[in-house]
Amino acid sequence: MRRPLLIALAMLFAFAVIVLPVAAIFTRAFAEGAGVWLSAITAPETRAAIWLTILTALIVLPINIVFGLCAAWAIARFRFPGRRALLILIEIPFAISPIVAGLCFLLVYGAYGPVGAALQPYGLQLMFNLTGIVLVSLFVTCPFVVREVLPVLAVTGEDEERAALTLGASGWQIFSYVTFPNITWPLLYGAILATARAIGEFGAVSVVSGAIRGQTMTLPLQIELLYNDYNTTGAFAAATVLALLALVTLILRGLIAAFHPARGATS
Amino acid sequence: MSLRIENLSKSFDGGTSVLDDVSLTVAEGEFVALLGPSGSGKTTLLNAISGLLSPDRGRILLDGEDITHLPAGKRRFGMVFQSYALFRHMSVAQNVEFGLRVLKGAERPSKSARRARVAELLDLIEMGDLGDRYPAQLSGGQQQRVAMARALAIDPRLLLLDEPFSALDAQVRQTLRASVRELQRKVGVAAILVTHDQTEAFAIADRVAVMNEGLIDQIGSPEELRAAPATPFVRSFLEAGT
Amino acid sequence: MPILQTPLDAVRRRRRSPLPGLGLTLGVTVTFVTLIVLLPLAGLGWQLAQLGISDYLFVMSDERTLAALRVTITAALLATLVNGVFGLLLAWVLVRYRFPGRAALDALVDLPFALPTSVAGIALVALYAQDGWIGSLLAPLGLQVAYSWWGIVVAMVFTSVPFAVRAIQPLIEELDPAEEAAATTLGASRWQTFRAIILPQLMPGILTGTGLSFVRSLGEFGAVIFIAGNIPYETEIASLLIMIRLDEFDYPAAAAIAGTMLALSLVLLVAINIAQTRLYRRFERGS
Repeated sequence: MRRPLLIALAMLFAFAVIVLPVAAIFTRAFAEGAGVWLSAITAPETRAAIWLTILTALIVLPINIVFGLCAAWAIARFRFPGRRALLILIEIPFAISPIVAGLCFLLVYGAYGPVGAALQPYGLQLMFNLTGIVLVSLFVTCPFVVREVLPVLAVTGEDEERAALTLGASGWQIFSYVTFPNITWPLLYGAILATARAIGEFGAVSVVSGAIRGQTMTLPLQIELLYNDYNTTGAFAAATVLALLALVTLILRGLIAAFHPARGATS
Repeated sequence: MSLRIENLSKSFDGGTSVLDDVSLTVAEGEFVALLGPSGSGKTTLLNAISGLLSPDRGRILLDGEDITHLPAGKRRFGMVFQSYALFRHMSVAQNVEFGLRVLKGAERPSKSARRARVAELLDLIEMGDLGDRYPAQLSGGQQQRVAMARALAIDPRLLLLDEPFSALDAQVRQTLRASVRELQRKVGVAAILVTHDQTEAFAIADRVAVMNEGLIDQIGSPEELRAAPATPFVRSFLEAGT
Repeated sequence: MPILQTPLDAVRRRRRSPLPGLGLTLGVTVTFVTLIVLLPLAGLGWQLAQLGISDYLFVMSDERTLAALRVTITAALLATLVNGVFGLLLAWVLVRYRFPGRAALDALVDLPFALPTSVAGIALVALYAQDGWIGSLLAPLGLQVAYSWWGIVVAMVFTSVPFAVRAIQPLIEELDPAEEAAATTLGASRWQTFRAIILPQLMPGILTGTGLSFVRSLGEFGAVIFIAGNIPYETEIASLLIMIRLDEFDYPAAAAIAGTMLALSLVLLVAINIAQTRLYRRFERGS
């Protein structure tokens, strides 16, 4: 009696709030046929935006992995002064709104900021270009890998690493033979979440991108641009690309959760 | 190889000392047990010998060579951990082979030589046909023997055993005790065993060092200890254990 | 000798772990965190410090700023309330019932996390505009969601609902059904059981979930600006006003609003943390 009612209510809410918006994107994108959709996502500006987004993700991903592994190793395996503070600093980007994050970068690395002003005489500009986009993307994504890898590292394998040490393994050998196999799944999981976030980030990137058409527009920014140009089909076509990526992310996430029993924290 | 420990001291965070001026000699081929309650410093002493912990003061000499500050990885001491610390994602054979695989350059035996050595060790622990199994698929006793074989694979200069039988039931424990002692004799390596179990120490060791609050209260053969306990602590500890 | 004692001790304490790699990994970590997190945050702090209290108050007492904060906070409050109720419902249904489509529903909850906010933004406009699937249903009733304050609420609900669900879910999993059965045998009605037995135990999760959902809603930008209409004093959110001040190169004003938002978020997060610890402690004592 009560059970079907509650289930129906939950389904209805999820349908109206979550499913319908995504369905609306695809309906609008394909309203004028697949041909129009295809030409919309291959339009030069949109193509440039897709490429810039991929390029950003490709730069951010390896940096995130290296940083995440280093931070997780240092925090899980050693005790040092400031360890807790470091952990809090790494988590802070989750608590800061994207616009505020973008602003912070502008205040330091922009032309009027201390670092930006110091670099200007050398012709180095950090904001309103790819560098700026990469920097804020690193900010918004830096907690993901640490957050997934650290808990796993903290409960596994220190004994195994000590055993490897007494057997004569070097630091790198310990990491690659003994530690790494234990954290492959959480690392992959964190890296996927971080990449999805880097690809989709809007607010922080819009502050520092400079919004130069065909040059510093990532795909999420391009959607807004097309939409404000009244090119709705173009905007929705571009949105389908990101929506598909989001669905792929969710599927990968589900697959990893199935493989890796300790399901990672949702973030 | 003989080991000589001179005046070893260690305290954590400047607080109470866990090792207080400890000296000990282990002769070639000898089996010494460090016996004591938890917190007596026996594991700290073993970790200092293995190089996993650096002492504040004192020296550790192996055949006269000062190894006090030699990193753990360079000591070539075989260690069996209380948890066994087997690499769970590696097969039994890969576990045993590990210490040979991580050797560098010319020191590293060829693949076939490594394989032969692994087979030899697996035969020694009577697990010749279980090389492809993974640690999780083994019984506790089998895991312990793999840990032993892995430690022996590097042709250790000294064998260190940290409560290696504590996770086993009484029956298996007795059998393994005998087989560990036999393996140690066969290989001819000196061994140090950490245990809180008096029966175990007396059954396996040539000499037993009774530790209490960071000090070695008395060291001697099981007969000597039974006949003449040197301190009230040794007396009461031995009485409680029987 | 005593002068050397302290640094040596510090080094020794650090070196207690025999594992290698502290220098390299900590070096990389600290460098990264300094450049990417600490320095930008310090930049905001520095800008605020230069501003001084009177200038800060001047910016914050501006009518437009106050209106933007009011719009943002009221919308975030309503969105959080909705998410508290429906988050609890979704979490309950997902944990307690087995029905066809449950796995799909579970996966769907994470979709707002995965969907880029600008995509969510145009999707919601498409849905709630006069000619949209939902907007066309509401129009005859005289209700307008798109380009109104209600649109802001809808966008905030969408982007932050997973926080509520995922924070409450694990606590429902931990509930002991025997307690509910005991309450029933003692004559409690279903509603009484829910009020007296279930709800108190879920409070830490509800608190965290709604708290995170509120913080996220306060800062949400991408999903909101498409549907909000962005009319100053009426449907302009604080994040957008920061953006506008930046475009005018009025960095001090932007920093003042941003600093206020940031402080509000951090205070809330700390408060949640403290309240949560207290609640958990109470349960531990009780059990």
